[in-house]
Amino acid sequence: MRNIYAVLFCGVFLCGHFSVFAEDLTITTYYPSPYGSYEELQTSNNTYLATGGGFVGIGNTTAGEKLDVTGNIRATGMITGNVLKANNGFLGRGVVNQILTVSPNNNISTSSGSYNTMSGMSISITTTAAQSILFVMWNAGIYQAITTTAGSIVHIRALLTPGNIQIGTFMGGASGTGNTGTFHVDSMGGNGMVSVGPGTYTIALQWKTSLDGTASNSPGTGNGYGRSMTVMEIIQQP
Amino acid sequence: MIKLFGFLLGIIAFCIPVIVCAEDLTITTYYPSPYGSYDELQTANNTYLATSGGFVGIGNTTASEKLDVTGNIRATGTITGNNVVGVNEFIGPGVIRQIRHAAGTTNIDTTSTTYQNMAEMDISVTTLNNSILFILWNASIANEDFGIVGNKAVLRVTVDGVQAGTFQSGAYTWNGTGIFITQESMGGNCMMQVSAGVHRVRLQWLSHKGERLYSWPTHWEGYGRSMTVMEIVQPGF
Repeated sequence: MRNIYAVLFCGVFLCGHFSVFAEDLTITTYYPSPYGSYEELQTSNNTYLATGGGFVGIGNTTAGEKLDVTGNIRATGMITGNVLKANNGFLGRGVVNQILTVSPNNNISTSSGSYNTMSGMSISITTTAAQSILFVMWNAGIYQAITTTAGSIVHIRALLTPGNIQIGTFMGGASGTGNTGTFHVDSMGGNGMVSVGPGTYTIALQWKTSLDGTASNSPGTGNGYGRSMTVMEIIQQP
Repeated sequence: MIKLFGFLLGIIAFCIPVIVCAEDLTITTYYPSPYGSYDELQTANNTYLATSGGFVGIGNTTASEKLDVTGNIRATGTITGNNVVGVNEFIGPGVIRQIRHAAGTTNIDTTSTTYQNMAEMDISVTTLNNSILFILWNASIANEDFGIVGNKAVLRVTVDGVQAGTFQSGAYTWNGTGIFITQESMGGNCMMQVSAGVHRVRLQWLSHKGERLYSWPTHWEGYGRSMTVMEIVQPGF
């Protein structure tokens, strides 16, 4: 670089020397540091920018950070920073992209022997990442009256649709046997996960009973038979 | 280099004939904007690149993003973007680096009064340094009563053999008559900070007074067991 400017300066000097007959000559010397505007610029080796202070702007002339890019940055390797900040969002493996929860307050009961969705216990989630894990956890306090010596058993599972995929195992909560005329409260819970691609899914908490029972879930009574479910989308491939 | 030299020589050659016989001299060094190729380049102050379109490539001549780097990018400060995307890996404090799940599929039982590993409830994770393992589990345990009053199922999580968090117990209520089984819906959560390496997370159980406990996930009554382990990256990873 320095050689180029030496040549340039020399050229300018020669011009001046040969222009002794001209009356007026104004030449910007570009010294000590020249300013230049290029249509295209290439360097083939080490390149150091803004070493004495100032900023590097790409796509702008208003840089306010050391490197200030108007547009996208792509690297084939790692991007390392002390702090990585995303004003709108991070997209990458392990990021909790969204977390949704429900905990309805209405009283419900079932005596159905086949799975039905507990009122208010559906979460609809739309994912756009190539692959995400939906992590599901739930808790429910279930009240069961014991009307026969066989007792009553409630079953709860989380179901993903479309596909009717049961997430993890189902859980049973029994009233106990032999205590006819009494009741039993089971504090039930479960957790599981399922891998999904982009799409819209519904995760529903479902319950059913067996053995001549009626199961109740009554958060509105103040007795604490609540129900809640949380779903996290954890990105695996953005 | 050659292009630029050519350009400069052009200026100089232009100077000589014109200046000899003319009074006005205009040297326009900005039009057309020169193309330059440098072996090494330094700027000492504000530097603006590709301001009217185009891309900046580093390590390549095929850039297709505003800044397109073949290789790594490092900053001593903060990197900020509207959206920050990690195609293969994304590592930093707060990221769930991995999530593993185990749900028992075989029917097991125990009368042991000392902790036993529950079959299949065994998750191995290879972690970074300082990571927090967040663990949560649920189990529905059948507690058999053949006469011993007040038996309890006791469950806990161990990481590399060390108990994580508290243990939980589920007791049955015995009315003093008959033989029956109660079902306890148990659950817990805990976390443990670990160093880099392989760590083994297990769910264990014991029977407080030795009555038989059952974890029978295939049984229609639903004595299931499940455990999830998340590795959450921490500073100093």
